[in-house]
Amino acid sequence: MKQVLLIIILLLMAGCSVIPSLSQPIEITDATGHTETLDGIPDRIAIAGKATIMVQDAIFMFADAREKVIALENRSQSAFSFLPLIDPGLEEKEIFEKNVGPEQIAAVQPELVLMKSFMAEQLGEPLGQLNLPVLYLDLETPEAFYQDIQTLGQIFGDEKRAEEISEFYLSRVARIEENLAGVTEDQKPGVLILQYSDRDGEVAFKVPPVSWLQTRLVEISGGNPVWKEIDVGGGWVVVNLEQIAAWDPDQVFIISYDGNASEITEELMENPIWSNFRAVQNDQLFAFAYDIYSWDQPDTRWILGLQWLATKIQPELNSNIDIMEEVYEFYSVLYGMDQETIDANVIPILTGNIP
Amino acid sequence: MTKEKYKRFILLLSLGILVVFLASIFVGRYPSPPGMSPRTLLEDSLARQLVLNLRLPRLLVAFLLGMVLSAAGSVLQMIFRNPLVEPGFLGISQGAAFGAAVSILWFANHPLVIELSATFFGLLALAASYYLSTRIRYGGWVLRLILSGVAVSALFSAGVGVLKYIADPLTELPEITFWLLGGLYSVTWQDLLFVLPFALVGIVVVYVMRWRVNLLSLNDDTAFSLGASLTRERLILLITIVAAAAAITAISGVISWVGLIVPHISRRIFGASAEKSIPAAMLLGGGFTMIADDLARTLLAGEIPLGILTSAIGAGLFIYLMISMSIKVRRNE
Amino acid sequence: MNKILSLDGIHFSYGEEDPVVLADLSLDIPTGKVTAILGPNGTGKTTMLHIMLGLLKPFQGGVRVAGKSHKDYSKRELSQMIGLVPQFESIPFNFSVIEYVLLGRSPYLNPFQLPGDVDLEITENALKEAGISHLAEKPVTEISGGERQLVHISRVLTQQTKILLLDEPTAHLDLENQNRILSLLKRMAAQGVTAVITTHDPNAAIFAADHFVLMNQGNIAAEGELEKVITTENLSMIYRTPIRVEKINGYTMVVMDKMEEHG
Repeated sequence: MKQVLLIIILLLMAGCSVIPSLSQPIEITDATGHTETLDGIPDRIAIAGKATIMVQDAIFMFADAREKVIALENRSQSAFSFLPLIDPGLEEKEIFEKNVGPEQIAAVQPELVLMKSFMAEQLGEPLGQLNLPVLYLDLETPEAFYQDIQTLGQIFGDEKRAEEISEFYLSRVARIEENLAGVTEDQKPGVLILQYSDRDGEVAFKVPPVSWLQTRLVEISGGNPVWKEIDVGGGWVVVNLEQIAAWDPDQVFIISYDGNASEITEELMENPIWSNFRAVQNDQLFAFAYDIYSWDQPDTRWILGLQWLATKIQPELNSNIDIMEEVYEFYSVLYGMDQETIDANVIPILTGNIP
Repeated sequence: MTKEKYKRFILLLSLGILVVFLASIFVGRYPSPPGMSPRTLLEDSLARQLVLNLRLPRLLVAFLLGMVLSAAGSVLQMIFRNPLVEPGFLGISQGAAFGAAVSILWFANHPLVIELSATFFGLLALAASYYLSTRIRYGGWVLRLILSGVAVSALFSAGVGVLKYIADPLTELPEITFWLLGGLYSVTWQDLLFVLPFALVGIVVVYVMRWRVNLLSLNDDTAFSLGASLTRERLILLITIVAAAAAITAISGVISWVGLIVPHISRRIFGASAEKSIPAAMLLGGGFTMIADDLARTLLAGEIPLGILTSAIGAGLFIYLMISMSIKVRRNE
Repeated sequence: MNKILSLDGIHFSYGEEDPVVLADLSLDIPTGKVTAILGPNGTGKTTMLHIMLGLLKPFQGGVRVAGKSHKDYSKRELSQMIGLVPQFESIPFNFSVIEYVLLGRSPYLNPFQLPGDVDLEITENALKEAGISHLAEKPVTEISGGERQLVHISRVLTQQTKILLLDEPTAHLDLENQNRILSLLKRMAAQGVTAVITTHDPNAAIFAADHFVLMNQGNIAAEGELEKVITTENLSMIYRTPIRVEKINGYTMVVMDKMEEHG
């Protein structure tokens, strides 16, 4: 009798282990170290909080997102410039207003809420109080990004896809690192990234904090960020034209989140003070590349931004990178867009000094 | 202070300001901090361009800013018989910032329109603070005016915040840190040109009426008996100098504490009579702001908002003065 | 001109709903004399001074200053004619004594003018007249109450007006300062200046005044020379407390009697 019981128990245990995880609780730890236990793969996912664009773009690299994301926050005019291209069902989804509160989110009965890491205190914790599972995406560094992809893979139950995406990014970063192997310090040009903002633009620009992705991209691309001495601030820091003149970097990249970086760089090249700068004289003043969004941010497009920077900062060493080809690869592999769609919607709005 | 002593002091002060101005021309981040030598200026054409297009207008605006804020602070303190008021505390600066932002968003992005709008809202804020103070039934007169000033300042600051975050989807407005913490990093010759008439009118009127201000600070009945057309004269002074302060705030953002602390220091050194203390305050204020701005643009590679420096130094001095004054009182008793 | 200032049928209250402060009041102020307006606090003495000054306008009735109405004077002319020392004057900033007294020259300077050497000289003379030249450079916040009052009076002296209005000039002062101030006023009168003082202290009035006006609830109870106005009956009625008028060696004095005890 005992033997029969033992066999039955063993069979049951074996059986349990092959039942698909759909009916089993899963435990996920995200890039910030936060852990949630979900009842199963979530079918209803909501996205909320600041920087939704970056979070959205990461999530929608997984095809299941189309069905499973049922609500998103609309934070700005450009929030839905890209999504309609990859999610035709966007209109039917629940669209939250900007700065949506926990209660409205709870009202759509999500099984999981996803947001950027810095929303933890403001939005994540209150949602936790309502017993809603929340997971965070960091996205701020390549390392965090890979972790975020793993997290998303667990959320969608699609580890295979997560691998594919990680491989996409890792291989490209590896290629650049290979290209740049053996580059010495003095072979790295002094690079300056500036954000232009309307009023101050003539006489003052902003540089990104040293800890942000932009600085990292320059370093990986084989450049030397000249603004590293500014070790202050949690946000863009204003620098006046004098300081820019004092640095006189080899290369300057102008970012404009309004999409007009090319016009600005043209104007600057005519500017009497800017014409004295090495970067202008050597034709090394570039408008940062931009298609639907600027390629410099912690958005999925950072890999395009990185490769683009690499071809500008160390052009000979990175001559094996074809930016246009990369654009097509990016949108087809990561978002399943076909060539026609890419030609119609992305290529025409590519701005900046590309290639 | 006797006339002769005063004249000598003012002369020295003016010379000092001139020296600071000339020195400031050479101070900056280019070619490397703390500044350049005269030789660099002669030989390097880029240096010349930077000084001409960037530093000079900025220095002049800094000086003007200090002058105007100090004059406004002095006049406000005397007319309201309240040593704790200044444009930043009565909502004038915040109202001006609001007016400028409103103009950029909804009227026109032209310097003249912006300054007129700033002036309008700055004066509105003053009127609101004053009116509100007459309705408060708590505390003495000094306290009431400060309370209403705090409320009006907060209201207009919030207004700027609302404009920035809700009404500005296309990000036409400068950052909120510019408005509320101030900064001269975007000042051009054009800005100086458009603010000059407002500033000059205010400064000239205050200077010409510098003795009369004493009279306007007395009891209403005494001043009346001495022949003052109280309302008219007070309004002329207030409107011109507050308009000046508002107009310059449109290009500098909110700069607080200068208008409070400089008149105090000036009165301490030169006596309470406005005839002597106001011109001195204008010079002191101009010099103070110039030095603060030199620090703002040279100390670190990134720009330090000017308002932070003036607040830190101004509030620090204020605390010191308050403490040393109270000690003085105890000794007399 | 022997009646430099006249009030005719003045009717005044602060607001339409408010109680009447002065009712059908007529009064002539003799030129070159000291006139004392006596009465307890709240009888409208200050209001009357303000009406004389032109600061308040009566509902009915008129004021004549040297034969003309206020309207016939420009602000400047009026301020060269009448000077005021209010009962309470707070000086919010610590001007030096001479800086403050110099402000008395304002009627002679337009808003954009600075005082000149002549103005300074007149100011110094006024300080001398009041006996406080030694206080010239002292901040007004550092002098005693009595000295402060002398400073105010100096200010009005530099104004060189024909008429001085002083509201309770000796209240809160010790005897030395009271004497000083009242004697000063008598000297000014002797030089042709007309002084009108309000006071609740009958003895001060007796010391300084030539002409007496006794006020009761917004009306004039008695007016005229010392003998006529300062009587036991009058004063007891006005002050509602037992008061005796005594004459000692030809000098009139007013003393308080013990109040009746209520059983």
